[in-house]
Amino acid sequence: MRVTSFMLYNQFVKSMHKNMADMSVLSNRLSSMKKIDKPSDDVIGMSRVMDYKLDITKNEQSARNIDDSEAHLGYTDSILQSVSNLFGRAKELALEAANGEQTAWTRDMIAEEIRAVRDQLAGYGNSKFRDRYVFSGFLTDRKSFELDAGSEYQYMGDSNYIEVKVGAEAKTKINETGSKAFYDQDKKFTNVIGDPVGTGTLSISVESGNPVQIAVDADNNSPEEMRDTINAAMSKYYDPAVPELVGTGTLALKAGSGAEVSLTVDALNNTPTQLAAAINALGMGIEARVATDTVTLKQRLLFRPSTPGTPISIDVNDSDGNNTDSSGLSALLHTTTKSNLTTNALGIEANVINGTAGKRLLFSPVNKGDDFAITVNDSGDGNNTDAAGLSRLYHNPSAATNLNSSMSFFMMLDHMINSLENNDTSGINASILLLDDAVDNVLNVMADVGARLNYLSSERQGNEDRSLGIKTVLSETEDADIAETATEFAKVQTALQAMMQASSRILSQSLLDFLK
Amino acid sequence: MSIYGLFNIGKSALFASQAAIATASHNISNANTQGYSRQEVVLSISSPIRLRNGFLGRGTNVESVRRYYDQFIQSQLLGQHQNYGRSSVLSDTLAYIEQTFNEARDLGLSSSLTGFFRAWDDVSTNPEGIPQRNVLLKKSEALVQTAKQMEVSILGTIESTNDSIDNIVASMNSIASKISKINEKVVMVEVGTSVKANDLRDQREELLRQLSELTDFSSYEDRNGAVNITVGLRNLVYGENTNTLSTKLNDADNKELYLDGLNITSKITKGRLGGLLAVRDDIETNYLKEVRKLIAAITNEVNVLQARGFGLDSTASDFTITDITSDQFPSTGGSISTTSISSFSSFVPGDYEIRFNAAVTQYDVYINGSLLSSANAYTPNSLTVNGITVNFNPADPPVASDKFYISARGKDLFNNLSVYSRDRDNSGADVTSATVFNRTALTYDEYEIRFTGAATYDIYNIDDGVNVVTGAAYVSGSSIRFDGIKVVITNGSGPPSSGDRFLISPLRNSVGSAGVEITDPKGIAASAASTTLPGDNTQALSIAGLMDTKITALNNTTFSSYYAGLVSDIGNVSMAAEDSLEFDDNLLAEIRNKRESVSGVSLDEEAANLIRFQRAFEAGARIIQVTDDLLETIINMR
Repeated sequence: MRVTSFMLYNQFVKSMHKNMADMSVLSNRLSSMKKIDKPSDDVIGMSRVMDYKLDITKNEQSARNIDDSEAHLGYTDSILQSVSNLFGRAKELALEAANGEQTAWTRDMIAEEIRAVRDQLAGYGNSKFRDRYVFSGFLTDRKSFELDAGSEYQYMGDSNYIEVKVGAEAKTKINETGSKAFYDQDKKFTNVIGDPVGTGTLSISVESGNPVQIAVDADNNSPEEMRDTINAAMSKYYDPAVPELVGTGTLALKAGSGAEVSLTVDALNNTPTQLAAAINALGMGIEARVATDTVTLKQRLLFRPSTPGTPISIDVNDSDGNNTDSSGLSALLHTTTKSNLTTNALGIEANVINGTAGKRLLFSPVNKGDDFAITVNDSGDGNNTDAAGLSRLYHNPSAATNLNSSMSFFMMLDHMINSLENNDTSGINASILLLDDAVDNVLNVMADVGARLNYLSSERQGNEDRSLGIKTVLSETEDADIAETATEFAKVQTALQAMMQASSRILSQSLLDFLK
Repeated sequence: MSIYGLFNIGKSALFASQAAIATASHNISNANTQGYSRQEVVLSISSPIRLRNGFLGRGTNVESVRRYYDQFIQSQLLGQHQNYGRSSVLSDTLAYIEQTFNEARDLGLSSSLTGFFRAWDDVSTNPEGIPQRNVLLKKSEALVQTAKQMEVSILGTIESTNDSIDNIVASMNSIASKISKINEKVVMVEVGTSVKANDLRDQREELLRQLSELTDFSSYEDRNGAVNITVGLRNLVYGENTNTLSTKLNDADNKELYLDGLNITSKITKGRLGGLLAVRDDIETNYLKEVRKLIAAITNEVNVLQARGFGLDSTASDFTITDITSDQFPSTGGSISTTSISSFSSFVPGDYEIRFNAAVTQYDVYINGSLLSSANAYTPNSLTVNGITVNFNPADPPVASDKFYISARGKDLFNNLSVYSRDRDNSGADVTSATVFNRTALTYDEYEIRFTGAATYDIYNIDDGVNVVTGAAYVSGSSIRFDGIKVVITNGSGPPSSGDRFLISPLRNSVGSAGVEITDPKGIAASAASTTLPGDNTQALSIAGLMDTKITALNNTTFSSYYAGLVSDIGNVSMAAEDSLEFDDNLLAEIRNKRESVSGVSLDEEAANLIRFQRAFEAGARIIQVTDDLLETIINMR
């Protein structure tokens, strides 16, 4: 092939450009420390980089949201801690006030102090964090608790939870509502009632069980008498779920001061229904009936005294000779140690509370969380939807709806104050129990808030781990390996120098140099 | 032969050497001239004299000056220059466009997009906070601005390709006229002889090479030696004449090429011109449109949700209730007379559909496509749902199974999408209005209404090619509805005729007329339930959630992955262009080398030739001297 100087020259120029271009890319890479300078450098890499960057931004936002949520929940938690401390103080005062040596005057003094506690509680309830009322639900611009016309504190917020995104799929509630944190959920209370209340029947059912009818008449229609009647009637005896065939043996039944009656249980009467009929047939002061659990459809035997308030006892002699196991007739027993049947487990407890405006009846389930319903049949005036007679127990007499639910801590403290001012020892005693319940409730809410805080801190941990992980892969995808790039740079540099040296020798070759 | 014949032989030797030296010098002096082909003197033996016992030579003749030239290599070179011209334009322009979409430096749309949704996230953690809302407004503004900058930069690229097309056309015309002039000279010189006008031909070859960088063409040499050039099957140069290539704007404001009265745009695929045309269409139909589509989707989807929420201080007057029954369900029998917000406290904005049963005694209500309540008893002429009272026209009450559609909307965050329309064929009819009537039904595609007759039309979705409406009847001035868009075409100078086309695009102005509509930060709808709930962040959460929502109209991807796809797309195309430029460059260098090998001047060779012919000249001179001595010998004979 014929080679001309132009060809050599072109070749030199071309390879010099190529080398220079390589050097420019490498030096750019060294100065920016990035492997990818534009999408076409590495299309797949670029799309990954975009994904990673998006993930990192989202993660950063989540971290910020976690910070926010933690601050908010942490603040809520500290307020609840203060509330719980406040109740500690209130309980001390209550115990002091219950002391028989206190006089009406000293109790008045204590009442003053409880009033201060109540106002302080309202202060806690109206806490603001970053200019938002923390306990008001969505109504963050409204005070959570305000005094109403009857000088009782009412919750002004709603029951909404503010949710914040703290992860790709994770949301958390950053607030606690006043209706949960400052209310005892279990309790139901009546309207302010007079004395006497009226006459008629109350029908009380617990956990959708068979209702217990309680007659209210002239003998027991003061609030306190009603309380006692209800408490006595709802003290029920019952057994755990029993099998289809109960077993055989003898039952020793005793009611009040009556004689003990023995009942033989054999193959003829050992289904729950037959057994209940056999006991009722004895007519000895204990009534039995079968209740079917609405959820498990298991049957239970329920016993109650024919005369409300009379103590009853039932002993079991199991024909399998073992009275402490869960087979045979002893399956009726609540525990496998030989003991009597469970008491009160489905019951409710009634209390009279003294409000600023008057007395109320308060019902609380003996088993926390049990559902109960009370309906009123006002036979005194025959009208169940007016505010007179027994039907005034209702929250909204005109609609004959059920009782008010959830007692606020303020109502409880009001009760305490009024009991102290009225020097009402039974009221003071009741308030001690109510306070215990309230503290339980606050602790429950705190546990819930604490669980959310724990969740947030684990979410934060996960978030940080993820961030680190993504940042590592991002760096692997996007960042230049300095050692590698520098080496490559040196390589290209050497090649360029070698080429220049070679070219200077070749290009300078000319025949003319040899012609003289 | 007389002794004087020897003088002639010597003279021919001198002439031949001199010509050869002159040619070598010409070669040396043109060693660096573009397009020069090396020349060589072709010598021949002069006709000898016949003697009795043989022939006696009479010296040499300069036959011709030959040019080293390979037609095959030359045509390969022209072809490869065309490829190279196209590749270099594609690579340069796409590299520029790529910078617009460069996410490697965190300056692209991606960060504005995430910034915008992060701002919604911040509003959701603190819905009553004015600072967070202000930040959101700024971020919305930033999103719009980034999109506008991108659009300006892309439009600028398109503009500059159009300008380059003009420049190239000017150079092509100038090259064409130079070639035609050289043709004239070549024909004049060569006609009737076997002489080749070497240097003129070299000049012409160089001009052809320059032309081949600009466009694809075909050329042939006629028997007179003139080169004829056709571009896009039309003559650019024929003999001594040229046609002028010109540009004209088309209906999309793009330059198109006309030669000899014909549009040849689609026939030009190579050279810089072919590259510019291809890249211009690519940018316009892909990247520009995709950016507009993305922004249209973002602004519209955000608006839909924003308008279903409440601001911090919204009042009933911030909401409008529109009855779009006639657009949504044209077959509905009855009509709504008035709608109003009768109870703001229970008011819920949204898109409502009311469906009556066959007996018109009951109705179902759907909100935003899902059932709200069913079998509500209907008392004639009025109903109330979610605080909205709808009064029906007593003279035109609902009939069996009637459906009604009302839209209750609050403020938008971004400017509402406007619909662009263009008459593509200057028909007698005009688009008198084009609007979005149901923005939840938008597909973010472009459409074309094509008339198949004076009273029938089809509607095509240009983007997926789907025929949306076939053979619908056209009535001047009545609404044409499809995919949430309502268009009114009215007869102008006459009715439309078959083949008339109207472009309908909700995308064209999506970036250009984008803007943030809300100025008061309180207007941002963070609450889903009511104005009076400042702590309600549910609507802000749903809007922030749009970031992770797969949008059906965007091929079931999220905003950011749709954009990432676009970026990868550009990266791929740009990388491919770069690769093919490198390939074409290498090939071109190879062919150039081949040409150099044949036609290039080698200085060493010419130096050797110089010496060779110098010696020959010296020897020739010696012949004359010897002859002279011989003569003298004869003259001095005594």
